[in-house]
Amino acid sequence: MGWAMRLRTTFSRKHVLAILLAFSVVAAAMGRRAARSLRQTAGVVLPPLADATMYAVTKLTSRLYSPGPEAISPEEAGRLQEENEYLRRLAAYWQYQQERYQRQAQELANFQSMYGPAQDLACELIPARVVAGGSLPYDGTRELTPGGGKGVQAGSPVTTRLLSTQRAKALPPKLAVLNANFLVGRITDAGAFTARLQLLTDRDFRANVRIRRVLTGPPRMVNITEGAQPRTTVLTAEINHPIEGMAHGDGADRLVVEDVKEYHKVRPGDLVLTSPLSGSVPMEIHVGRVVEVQRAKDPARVTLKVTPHAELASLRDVYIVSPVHPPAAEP
Amino acid sequence: MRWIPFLILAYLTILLQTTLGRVLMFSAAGIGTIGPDLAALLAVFVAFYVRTWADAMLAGWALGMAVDLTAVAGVGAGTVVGPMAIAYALVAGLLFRVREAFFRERAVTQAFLAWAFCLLAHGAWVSMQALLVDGPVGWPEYGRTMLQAVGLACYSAVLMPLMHFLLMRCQRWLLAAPVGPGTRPRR
Repeated sequence: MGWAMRLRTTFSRKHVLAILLAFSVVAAAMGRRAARSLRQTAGVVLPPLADATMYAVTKLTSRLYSPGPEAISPEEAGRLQEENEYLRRLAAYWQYQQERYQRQAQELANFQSMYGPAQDLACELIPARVVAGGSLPYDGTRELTPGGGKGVQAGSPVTTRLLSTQRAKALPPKLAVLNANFLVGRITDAGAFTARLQLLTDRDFRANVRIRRVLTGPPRMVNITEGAQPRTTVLTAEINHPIEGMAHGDGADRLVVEDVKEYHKVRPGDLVLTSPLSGSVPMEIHVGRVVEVQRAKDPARVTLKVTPHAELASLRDVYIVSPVHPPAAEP
Repeated sequence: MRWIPFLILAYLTILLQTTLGRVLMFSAAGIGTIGPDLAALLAVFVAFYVRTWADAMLAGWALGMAVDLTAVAGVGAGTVVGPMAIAYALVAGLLFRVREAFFRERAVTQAFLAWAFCLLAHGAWVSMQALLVDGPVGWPEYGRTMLQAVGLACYSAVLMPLMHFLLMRCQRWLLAAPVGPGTRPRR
C-alpha cells in the first residue's frame, strides 16, 4: 500500500496532464508519419462495434435518400403503359440484335484467344466494407475493413460493389464487372486490419478523368481542326473523342473539372469516367455525370460540376481495385 | 471524476460520431459539409461539473485525442495527431475557469458556451493543422474550413441543451462528486 501512496503522491493529475500534453506536442511535431502509425493502432479499437452501427446507419440513409413513389394521373398512366409496351418490343428487338452481336463477338474472341496475344486487366478486386467515417465534418474519408486479409496499397481506387455482383454471373470476369462499377474514391492509407477510403467528393481527392459527350438531345456544334484550318461542325460519333481532364472534390457532394476548353461544348448530362492514361486505373470506370457547366474567368474555358453516380451517403460494400503492377504517380 | 465510465462514454460518443454522426451532417452550398461535434459537447458538460481544473483538462485531452485519431482529413492532404487534444484540453481548462460566471442550468448559456468551446477548439485546430500539414494551404481553403468550423460550432450549440439533458441523467454515474445547484450536501 505504501508504494501505491508514494506513486500517487509522486504522480498527481497535473503531472499526468503535463506528460499527455507534451506527448501531444511531440506527436504533432512528428507529422503525418507518426499520425498514420497512431491511427492504425487506434483503428483496431473502433471497427468491431462500429460495423454494426454503420450497418444500421447505411440502412437508414439508403431509405432516406431513395426517392418515394409519385402520384400520376390515369391519362399519364395510360400513356406510360403504351410507352412501356413500345419499349418492351424495342427491347426485344435489340436483345435479338445483341445476341447476334454477342455470337459474332464470341467467335471473334475465340479466334483471338487462339491466335492473338493474351489480353487481361492487371487488377485484383478486394471486397471491403465501410465501418466508420471521419469524426469531423471536414473529413471526407471512410474507414474500411478489407476482406480476405489481403494487402491493400495506398492510391488504389475504390468502386461500389453492388453492380459488380449482379453482372458477374452473366459477363466474363474482370473486364465487364469493372466497367459496370462506379468509382467512389481511393485508398489513402492502409493498415493490417483497416484501410482509409478518401471519397471522391473530398477536397483533396484528385484523379485524371475523361469526359464522354452523350450524343442524344439537340445537335451540338463543335470546333475541329483538320490540317491547319479549324471548322465548326455537328458532333457525330466519328469525331466524338473523349476529353481528358483533372477532377477534384468540392468538399461537399460534387466533383469539379476545371480548365475544360469551351469549344468541346460539354453539356449537362455528359458522362465522366476514369482515364486509363492515368496509370492508377487501367480502365474506364464510371465516375459521374456533368450537372452544371460554368464559365471560367478565361472565356475559352469552362468549369464542370459533376455529381457522382454512387450514393456516397449510404456507402457500405465496396471493391478495392488493386493493380497487380504498382500505380504510376498521378500529377 | 469516475474515469472508467467516462472513458466508456467517450468511446461510445466517438463511435456515434463516426457512424450515426454522418446522418446528422448536411451539405451547405459554398462551404461544405456541416455536422455537430458530439465529443466537444461531452467535454463542455464535464468542464461544467468536475471538481478540479486538472480533471476538466484531462477529460478534454482524452476526447480531443480520440477526435484526432479518427479525423484523418480536413486541412490540406492529411492531418497530424495532437492539435485537437491540446485544443480541447486548453479550452476545457478555460471553460472550467469561467464557468462560475454563467448560469449553467440555462439552455441558452449551455448553447453559448458550447458554441464558444467549439469555435475556439476548432479554430485553433484548423489553424494548427494549416501550419503543420505537409504542403502549402491556401487562404481560400483555410477560410472555407474556418467557415465550416463556424457552422459546426452553431450546429453543436443547438444540440448542447439536449446533450446536457441526456448527460444529466447519468451525471452520478459519470462524476463522483459533481458541483452545481442541487448537488450541494445537505445539512
